[in-house]
Amino acid sequence: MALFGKEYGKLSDERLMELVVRGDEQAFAGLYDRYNRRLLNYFHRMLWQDREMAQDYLQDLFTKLAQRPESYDPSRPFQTWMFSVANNMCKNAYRHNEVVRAAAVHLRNGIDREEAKEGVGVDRELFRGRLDEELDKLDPDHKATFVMRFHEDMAIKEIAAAFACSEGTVKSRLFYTLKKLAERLKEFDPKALIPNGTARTIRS
Amino acid sequence: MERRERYDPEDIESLLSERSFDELLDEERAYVLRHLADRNEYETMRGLLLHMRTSDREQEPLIAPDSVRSNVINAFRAQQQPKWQIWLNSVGTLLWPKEMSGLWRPALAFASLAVLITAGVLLVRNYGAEKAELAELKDVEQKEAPAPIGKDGNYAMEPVTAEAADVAVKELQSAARVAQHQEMANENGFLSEIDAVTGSTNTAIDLVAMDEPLETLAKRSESLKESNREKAGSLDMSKDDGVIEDAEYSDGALAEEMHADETNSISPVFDAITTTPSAPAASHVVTESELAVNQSRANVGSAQVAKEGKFKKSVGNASQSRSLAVDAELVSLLNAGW
Repeated sequence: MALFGKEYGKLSDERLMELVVRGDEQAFAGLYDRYNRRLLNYFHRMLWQDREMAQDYLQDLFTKLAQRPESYDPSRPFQTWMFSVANNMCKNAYRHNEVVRAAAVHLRNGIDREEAKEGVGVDRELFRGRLDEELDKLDPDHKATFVMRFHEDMAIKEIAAAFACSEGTVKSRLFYTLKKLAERLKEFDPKALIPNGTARTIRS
Repeated sequence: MERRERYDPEDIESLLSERSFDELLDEERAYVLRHLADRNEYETMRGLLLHMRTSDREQEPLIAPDSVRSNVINAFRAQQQPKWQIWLNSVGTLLWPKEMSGLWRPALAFASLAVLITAGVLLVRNYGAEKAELAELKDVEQKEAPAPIGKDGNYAMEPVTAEAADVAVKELQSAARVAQHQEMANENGFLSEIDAVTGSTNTAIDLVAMDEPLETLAKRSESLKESNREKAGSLDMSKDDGVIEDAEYSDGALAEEMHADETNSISPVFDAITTTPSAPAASHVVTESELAVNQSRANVGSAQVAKEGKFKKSVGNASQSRSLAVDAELVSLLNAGW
């Protein structure tokens, strides 16, 4: 049955992916439109806030999907599958740029610590920089779990599916990552970091 | 061990997100303090968690440029379309590049193509023209060369000199002589064989070395043939006698053999010949030497008959070849300068 343009927005990711496997260009474009921002931000956070690199990785990811759509496992949710592929790409990037990353972290360390000493109170921008810096120091799996949970707002179950591990493993990673970051960022006033009325419901 | 089993950090995460340390119930506070050091750590973690979420809201999300989308869609199209379409796309890019500075490539390609086509057309046209000339049938009027016209208006033959006529006659005669010499040489070989058989010495003549007029050569050849025929005829007569004797002998021998078979008696062959009833009464006993002589004569006779046939044939050919040279009309025509 021929599908009209309006119907693509109502189709699930998995259904669109089936159409992509059959060569449907509009379905492919629909999936790109749904996920390009999330994946771009994910790459941005995971790849040392390098915007150009994040764009390149986003393009590489969808190019792989275009060239080999049959590699998608229909038994898995499309979102978790995409993030697992993206996470693997980031791991490869870590392996290849380990030396560069160490040099960049070392450089940023000295600059940011001087800025923090000179700052009056808590500067949110400074805190964000420090947070990213500490995230880069983390183990890739812990960092990815943290980003997926608190930046991409993914459920524990989805993260577990993306990493192909148990939900308990994801919870443990999140707790220890949060605890470690709090310990490293204790120089900042916690109360100043909490904005008024920012509490929100968390997806279980 | 038991505490680790009941450990659930996600519950702490929900508490961190929803309530401060002071807002926690006693049970919740006791639970939190089992996993965290103190209130300050709890508040730090809470502040960090909330800050990340609010900062994500405040921070503008990154947007991928349209080029990324177009590249990805093009990659998908390239993957889906057939290979020949991809090839055609590359041809299109080659023929009309995006940058104007790259136009020299298609220009050079088209110029080369034009040169090649022009050269090819010229070659084909030239080659085709030659072919057409060869294949064309033209009605060409054959114009006879006009004969020179005399003073009186009639066509006049060019005068032939006597020297040219003599040269032509001599050439014709020499050609005929050579042909005749060849025939005579063949004949000479045949006659020498006859001489060897008959014992005559004047039959074989060196005709090639002979420089006599053709008429005399022909006459001499005819006379030689006649004499040889006479000799051969005498030989045939004697040979025929031998043959008859041989026949009688053979018949007698056969009868004797039949008789011998009947009587189982073995008698000498020459004796049986004398006792044959068909043998003439005046016959004499044939000795072995006489039989050998008769047999050789008979052989010579058969060979001569065969050679005579060849001789007649060669004489006929020689007479035919001679007729051109002897032809008086031809010679007169040549002398007249025809």
